[in-house]
Amino acid sequence: MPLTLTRRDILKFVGGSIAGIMVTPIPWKLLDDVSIWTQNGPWIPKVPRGALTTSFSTCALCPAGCGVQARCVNGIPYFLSGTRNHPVNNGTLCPSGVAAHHLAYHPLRLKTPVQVTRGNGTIEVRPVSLDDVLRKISVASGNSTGAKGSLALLDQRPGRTVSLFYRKQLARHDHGIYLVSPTDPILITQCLDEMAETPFGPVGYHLENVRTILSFAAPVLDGWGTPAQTSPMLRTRHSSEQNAVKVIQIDSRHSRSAQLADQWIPLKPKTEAALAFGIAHVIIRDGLYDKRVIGRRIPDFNIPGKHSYSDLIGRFTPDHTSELTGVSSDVIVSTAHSLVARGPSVAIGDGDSGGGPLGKEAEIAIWGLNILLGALESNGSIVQRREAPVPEGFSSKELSPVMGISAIPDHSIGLLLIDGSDPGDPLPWSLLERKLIPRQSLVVACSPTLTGLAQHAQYVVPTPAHLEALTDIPTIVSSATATFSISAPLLKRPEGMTDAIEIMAKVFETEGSMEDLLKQRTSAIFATRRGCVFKAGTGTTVPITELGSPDEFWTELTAGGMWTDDPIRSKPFFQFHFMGRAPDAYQRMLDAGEAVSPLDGPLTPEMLTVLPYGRRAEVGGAQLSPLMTKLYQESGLHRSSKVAVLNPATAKKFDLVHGEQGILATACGTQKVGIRVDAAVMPGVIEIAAGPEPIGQAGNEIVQEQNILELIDPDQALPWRAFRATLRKA
Amino acid sequence: MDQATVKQSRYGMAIDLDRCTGCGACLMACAVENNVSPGRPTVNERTGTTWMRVIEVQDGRAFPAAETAFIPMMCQQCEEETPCVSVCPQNAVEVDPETGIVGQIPQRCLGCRYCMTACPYHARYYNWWDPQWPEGMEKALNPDVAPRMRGVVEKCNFCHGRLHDARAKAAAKGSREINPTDYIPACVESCPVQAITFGDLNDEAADVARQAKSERAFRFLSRLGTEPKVYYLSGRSWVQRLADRELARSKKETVHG
Amino acid sequence: MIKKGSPGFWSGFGVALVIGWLAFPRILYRSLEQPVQFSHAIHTGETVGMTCDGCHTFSNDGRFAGIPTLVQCAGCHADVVGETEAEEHFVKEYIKQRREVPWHVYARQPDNAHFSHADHVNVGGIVCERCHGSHGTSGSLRPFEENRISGYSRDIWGANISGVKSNAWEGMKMNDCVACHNENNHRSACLDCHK
Repeated sequence: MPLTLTRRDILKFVGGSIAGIMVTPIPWKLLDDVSIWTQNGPWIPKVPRGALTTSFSTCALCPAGCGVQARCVNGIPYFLSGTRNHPVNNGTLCPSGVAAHHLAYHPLRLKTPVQVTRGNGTIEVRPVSLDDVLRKISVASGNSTGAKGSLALLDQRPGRTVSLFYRKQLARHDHGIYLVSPTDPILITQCLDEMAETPFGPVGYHLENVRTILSFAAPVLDGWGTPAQTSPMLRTRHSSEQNAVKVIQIDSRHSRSAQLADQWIPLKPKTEAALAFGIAHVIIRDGLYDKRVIGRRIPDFNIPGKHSYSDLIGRFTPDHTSELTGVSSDVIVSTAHSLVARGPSVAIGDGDSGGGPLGKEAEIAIWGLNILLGALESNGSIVQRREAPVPEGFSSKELSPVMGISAIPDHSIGLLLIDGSDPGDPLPWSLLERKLIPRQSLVVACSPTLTGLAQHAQYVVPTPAHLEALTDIPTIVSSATATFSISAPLLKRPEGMTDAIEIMAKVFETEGSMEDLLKQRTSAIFATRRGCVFKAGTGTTVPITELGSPDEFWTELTAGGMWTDDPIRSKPFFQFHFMGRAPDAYQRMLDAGEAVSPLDGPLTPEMLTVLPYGRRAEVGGAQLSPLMTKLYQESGLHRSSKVAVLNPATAKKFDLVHGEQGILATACGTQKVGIRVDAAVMPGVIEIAAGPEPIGQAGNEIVQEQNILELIDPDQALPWRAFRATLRKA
Repeated sequence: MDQATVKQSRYGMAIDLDRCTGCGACLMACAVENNVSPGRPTVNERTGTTWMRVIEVQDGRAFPAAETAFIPMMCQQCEEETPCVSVCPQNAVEVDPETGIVGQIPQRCLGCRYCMTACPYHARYYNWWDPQWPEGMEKALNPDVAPRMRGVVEKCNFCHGRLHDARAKAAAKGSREINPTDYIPACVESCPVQAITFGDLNDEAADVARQAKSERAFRFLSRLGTEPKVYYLSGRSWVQRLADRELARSKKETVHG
Repeated sequence: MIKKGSPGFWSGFGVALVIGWLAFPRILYRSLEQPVQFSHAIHTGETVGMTCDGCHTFSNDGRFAGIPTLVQCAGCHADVVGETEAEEHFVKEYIKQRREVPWHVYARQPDNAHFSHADHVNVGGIVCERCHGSHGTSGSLRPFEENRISGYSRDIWGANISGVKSNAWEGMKMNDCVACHNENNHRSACLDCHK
């Protein structure tokens, strides 16, 4: 048979092959493998495998300083929870803290120093070397010593040990300014200093004795105090317990604390001072205060022939106050009465961080209310607090004073350095910008990510991310005694990260290392042999005297421990000027009280009043875990900075529809916002978060942040609690 | 060992709505624990994935009287006629007779989303995208939970990875009975006000069983007869009245169309 | 018809069989050498006399440590103690440089499978050999065969490409787990073994 290959043969061969394949594993095994491939595709990340361990540290995201227990795989934290029995948080964490270990992987994390160029709606970022940045700083620093302006350092987390280092270096500099955000609690307690005959110093709160809290827009149930202070209050809400703390929230916004408080008293924006006067009026009118104390303590209570506090208060009758604030006179009277009847009571000012400061006069009015309520008496809940001991060379005489933005002349800063490694309170860029010398100033920020003020700097030096950095946590404002803890790194920092202290030390031509500085501080604390130490590993607290050496103390602190000072036993006697000691105090307080709310402002009727807000940990250049999209975009439980919330009636009046986009405009610019209606919001206002927008899987492109605070008119910005804007359909 | 010798549990939860502050720590802890990936830039309330979702509700009164409550809503672990189980064409959902936990098996799921339609609580979520984490973040994933792929449905399973851990811990001592304190879901662990109680409803001595019998206790949509094992507690009558409303629909389904 | 067309058909059939049974497994699996040649026989044999749980330990929480880490190896091998080339290589490349060995794990299950050694060994009383065969006495480490499509180890499917098994240690697919669980009336909910 001749060997010719016909078409038929080929077909038979193919047929035979197909038949043959069917009895081989090829089809069946391929089917199996391919189905596995579709289920467990190689593009889906594999979970880590390895040894599981537990480590402890302290959260540095916000000033509370919660104890953190980290479950780690291969030494990398994968689940954070609160340290059991920790004096600050007693085993709990907030949502930001729960996801804090993700910040090292933030999509806007910087890997090298960069030069930032902001265009119209765009940000260009060019990597530069650290030496380039230092050279630029050195030139600008040379200029700023002369007539060409001052050198300012904006500390976004004042009170740290490194802050003392900055203030010490700035004090030696001829034109050095130490700048903090206007909402920083340091500036608020300075108001009490202004009232006292001799400086009162840091203030602490004994909230455990309090039965009624009157909060003036402070986020008392949402981040103002420590979780250990607020959790017990929150647990007994809606319960009939007699001794449960009653929280009265005075707030123009339907804030989280207003939602959770036992009573919410909405008032017209920016009329807090008037309401404080109005409540004081009722207390004085009805003789609900301790007359002996007032006579002894208050020099300006009643001065014959001169404008005195009682004259001032006399004007704020319930009816007049009601007109100013929009709060009914019945509520004003009953609030005043219940504060006294359900004592001990305390009034808390402070405002919320993103909402901006209440203003000095309002704060003084609130302190006055506290004095009337007896909160500063020996059995009261407001106490003088010591600072944690400082090493030699850091006494207050040797430090540059703490400055608010309003104390700085316009166009005066030649070199602005920003330490934003631990972000805190916000400072609107427009306010900061006008303090700079136009076109001749240099702004350098130290920050782990290109967020917040770092987006406005010309150069940004990357600092280690949260849980990579060594930093300390100073005492939170609500604490009755001094505390000190250390956030020790749980993650190894990548190459190219520089601690802010190293940059600042180079600027001031000195040496500085975070570890040395913190060791000095812990040694100084240890040397006093005061207070006690919480040990994270065992969850127990022991007197510091049980520790043998500063090294042992250091080891406990870097392993998630915490030092708490002994309380001060004696309460020194203070005299307070209820209106402050300024010569024009009466007039200033009167003006503050009589100020017309923007809600009643003589502006065109299409104007709405914007109420910005934001928690200390979530504004001011805060970094949010990429996973926080769950809380903002994916569930809407937290409202992002791109959502404007208004009352349905207001929305209807302005022809705005829930779910649609709108354009918010002021003289300073416009922003696109999503519109959301909420029946609980005050008519005529827009609530909008000053906080950041979490960035989830955005990749590595730079996102220019939208912040409502950028729409503030810098000419009348302080306090920026409420401002007028238009909102129309997009 | 024989199945019959193993204790039958009915794991359940009691959530005190009068304590819940809507902080969202449970929601975040849940996403961290269960390796849910961060949202894409375009993600919204309809396409997002939150096994635990906290829903804000109001009593319907206008400013300034409006009162707010927060309702943490996740798989209610229905025991009878479990809607998702009965509709699944793939056998990808089942109720574990030993624990009462409704399990979802992503590898079996074909993504028809019938179960999502069937679920009265809108507690099921579809993976519209493959899971993706920013660079390096995969090293910080929970080793006890596998990430899911695009095109499948997922939901709360009472942190089943933690039950595995608790069982392993018991097994290390040679026992099949877990210590109840070893099995606490992430949301329960992370709640700052201890609003959530978790445990075995069959265990008379357990806190959760006691709370489920409280006069403040109710279950959502109990009229459907699916016997959910998640109880809610509130002394506020307007909150209790929400139990028969399909409140989840209002947030998840209609906000963005 | 078959008879008439047989040469073409059967040659096609034959070629397919050869490809399917002989060439296909070689193409499907990528063969990877282990980074270090390790002999279980030397370690467990009479000279050293270690047992399985000497290195493959459980922690208190019942987690199985799997392959020991460098620290455990360094307990004995801080310096070269034997005479083999493999050990010298191991000490020089890994111990001295404090680098973990990137072992290819034969029995590695995919991420979605949960397997508790503590459950099976402590509670179930199963001996190591039941699933791992004679691996504990092997004199050298065979090459690791990785499935090019699924990325799984060949040990999951089993060495026999046909999928036929006569011993428990010859394969570790889900069916194999289920077979044993069913036989012994053990837990059988999906989530008992899936995560």
